Amino acid sequence: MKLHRNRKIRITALLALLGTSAFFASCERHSASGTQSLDELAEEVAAKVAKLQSSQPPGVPFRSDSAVEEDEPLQGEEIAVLTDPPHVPPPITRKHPSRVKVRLEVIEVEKPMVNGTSYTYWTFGGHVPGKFIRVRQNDEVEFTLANHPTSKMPHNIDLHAVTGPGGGAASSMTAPGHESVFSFKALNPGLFIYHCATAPVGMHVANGMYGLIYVEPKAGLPPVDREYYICQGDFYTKGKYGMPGLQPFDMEKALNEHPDYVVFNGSVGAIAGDNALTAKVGERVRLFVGNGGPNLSSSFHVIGEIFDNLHAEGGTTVTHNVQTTMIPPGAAAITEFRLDVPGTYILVDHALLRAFNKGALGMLKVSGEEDKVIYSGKLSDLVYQPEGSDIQKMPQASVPAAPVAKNKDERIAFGKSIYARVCLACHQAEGQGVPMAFPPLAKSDYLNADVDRAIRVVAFGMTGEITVNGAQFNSVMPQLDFTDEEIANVLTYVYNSFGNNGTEVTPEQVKKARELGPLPTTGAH
Amino acid sequence: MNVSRLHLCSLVMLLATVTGTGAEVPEGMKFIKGGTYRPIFLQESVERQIHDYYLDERQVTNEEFLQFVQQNPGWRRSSIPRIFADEQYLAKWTGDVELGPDADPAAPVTGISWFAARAYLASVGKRLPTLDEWEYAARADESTTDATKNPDFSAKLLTWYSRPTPARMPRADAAPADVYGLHGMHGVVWEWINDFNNSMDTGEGRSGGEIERELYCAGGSIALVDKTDYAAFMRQALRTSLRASFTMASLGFRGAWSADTALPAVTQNAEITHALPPGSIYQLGGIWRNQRDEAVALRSLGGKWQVICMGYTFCKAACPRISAIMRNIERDLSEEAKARTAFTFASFDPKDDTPAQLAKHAKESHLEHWNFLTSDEASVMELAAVLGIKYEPYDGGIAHTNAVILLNPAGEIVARIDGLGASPDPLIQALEQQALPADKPRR
Repeated sequence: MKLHRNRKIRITALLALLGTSAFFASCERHSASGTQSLDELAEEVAAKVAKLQSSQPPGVPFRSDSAVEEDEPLQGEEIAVLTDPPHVPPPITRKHPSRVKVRLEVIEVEKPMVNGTSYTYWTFGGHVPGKFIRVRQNDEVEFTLANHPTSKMPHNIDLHAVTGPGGGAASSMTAPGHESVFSFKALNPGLFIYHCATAPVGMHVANGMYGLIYVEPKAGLPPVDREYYICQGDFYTKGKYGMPGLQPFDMEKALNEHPDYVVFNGSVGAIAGDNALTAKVGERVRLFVGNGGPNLSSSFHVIGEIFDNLHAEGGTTVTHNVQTTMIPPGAAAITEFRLDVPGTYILVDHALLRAFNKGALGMLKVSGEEDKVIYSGKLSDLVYQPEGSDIQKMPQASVPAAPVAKNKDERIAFGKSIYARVCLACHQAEGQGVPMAFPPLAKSDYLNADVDRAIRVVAFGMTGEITVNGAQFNSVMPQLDFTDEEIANVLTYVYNSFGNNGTEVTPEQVKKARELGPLPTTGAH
Repeated sequence: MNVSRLHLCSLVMLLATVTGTGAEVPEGMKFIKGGTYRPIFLQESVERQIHDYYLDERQVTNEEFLQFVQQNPGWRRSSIPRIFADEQYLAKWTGDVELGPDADPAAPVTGISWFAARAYLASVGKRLPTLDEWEYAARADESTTDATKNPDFSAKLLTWYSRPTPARMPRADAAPADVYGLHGMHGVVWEWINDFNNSMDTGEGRSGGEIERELYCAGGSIALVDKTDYAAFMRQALRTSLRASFTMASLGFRGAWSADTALPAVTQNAEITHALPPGSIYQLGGIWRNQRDEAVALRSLGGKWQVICMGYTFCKAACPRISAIMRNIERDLSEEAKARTAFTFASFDPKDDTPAQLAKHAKESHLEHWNFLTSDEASVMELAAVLGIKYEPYDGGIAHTNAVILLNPAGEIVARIDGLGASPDPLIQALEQQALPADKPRR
């Protein structure tokens, strides 16, 4: 019995060592037949192990094993190029590791979260996410963390690229108006999150204290035409989405993991509309995507694209042909794809209510020649429609108590803020819309022809086929839970912008038009 | 030695060095009735007994501090040694004795180091509040003495903590008074406490291998009793980031006073500052006693290279190992380097480490040629602060940073090793290089 147990352990150990499916298959067969003795099995396994060991390496070595083998001497010294999102520092072409100096400044800033709403962000370098840091494997990084004198809080930094307790946090606790220096060797290649780890760490991260560091592998990455930097984050504010004014952090919502905002690059629209990422047909694009959290995982997806290459979890293994990749808080991924068709590609957290109702929506605008074989361009929308044909109700629009406009100028001013908060994501900053997805409002024949119809579209939403300025659209306009005053204001703004006819819409007119009820669904859907 | 006993003992020691206590309660202070409170900063959830005391009803203002530097030139911006305050000291002022447009006379003075706050308060017969005194009073809002369970109260604090520091501070008495009559405990500036360097456990002192747990991800939450008191968390994080010479645009102070105490400012030694480099720890005043019961001023250690540590002789864990590191350094030094070098062990424990105990310890350890020093609590606190050593009473002993520090003959820190497992080589190398003739390149 004792002997048998030992043998069993030996077999198990051998299997664990190999871990190949072939072995599991053969074991299953043996156990199923039940005719082979343990001794025979052990011999067979030993023979197979010997054969395998002679033909292939015993397994993937740990990083430190290979580092010892190929320790590279350090040459030269340089100052790291740091970039603000969505930009990425140039690839590192050095064939040797260097001493690299990185200086990152923490600054607490008040900036817009969405038009009309601002937030006090705590940042690594003035933006959320913080500066992108790019170094090469085996570089020795001398890291200076400066904390601006106007900061209220002490801060530190935990870089997931650091090997050592606290990831640098223990060595970088820095009071306002001071700076700390520590150094580390970038042992493992990959894309890593960095974040502040000062207590209460959840709040520091929730205020925007994260960014990405890429440790370029020795061989580098294959060249691409464009690289961009995106980080998702969730934000918790006292007022609900869109509530105007400076909104303070809400600890209770953060503890309950109920964010008001889920955004790319720190604010609603940071990489949408005029700030959209751009590329050209035929180019290969690489996105360095992180998730600062603090709470929500991201189902990162680019609508209308497939990741040709994906470094899932930011590591070394590349998988191919992936639609959506899961990026948990404190993690990152590298996605690469070639652009074949022009148009606007929407970047989303495919937990879609976050994308459409909380801000997790970005854009990649691609210009160039159409390729009708790859994509016919025949009417279909590029945007995934999560709600099917049902009307999507967007409750956030009713949250702020809308001020009452006293005259047309005020109406336009109030309407502008509503537009930026609610309409801009689809209809765009200049009312130009998104071809084949969202109709234009600029110089719009459909809009200018019929005010009551426009009111009913906003009040009740609309589904189905319409023709605007000669182009056909077949989309869903969500029902917007606006007051009469708000509809009057936003429509007045639109009618007095983007080359439209200057109509003033009043709340009374909205009330009357509402009585007509929703528009009939047009065309097939 | 338990927690409360050490605190009490610190008060007693201070009393011993002070003359003329029992003065009238200084003006502008409010009475705080003592009681019990449960600090969130301790691993053990112990209730602390707080004695009756007084706090200034508002922070010390620019105008008041201006008067102080007018009378005490050693504390002016241009003359203060770096060891007592960093470059941002009084940075908002336009000159040594000029406030300028950004420093409202009635606004709290900020850009103040711990040393400067202590020196100011000593000059008016007050002292900095302890952590317990400050936190005990800071629980109050306008209607109750303990509002910490009121979510609106903590939300208000968090909002303030979230905002950057304004360019121009409001008046120190602008905020509405709380139930004690104190203005601006929250919402204007952070405030120094006396024992900021003693308030977090440093980990290392007990097990040797632990890193400072408060400094990194999630670490702080392990040690806290009330994990939802984010406001207290943040105050603690701030204190953890400070050194005694640090100043901040949003860090001021107010005075405390109680019937039995008034702190001496050990640092007030303006006459010695000129002869020494600004970063010399020998700028510190304070009287120490060695194992032969002789009075020793720190600056008398000068002239030799000093390998110095802090510990206490009853320590059975870390301190013997720190001593062992120093012994190994001594053993491995060349004769030439050894001749230039002295070894000093300064005690954290004024109560138990009497000169007699130090003598006994030195004899038993065969280290009678080293300096073993003991002093009062204030001197210990200041020496630990300038050496970058934290310590805290813990579980009958004292938890502390394990460090061995090398001072040059002028008393400047030139090298240190942290942790019990660290190699002593950097210190040995530094000492050997200094032993080279002057024309050889130095490190």
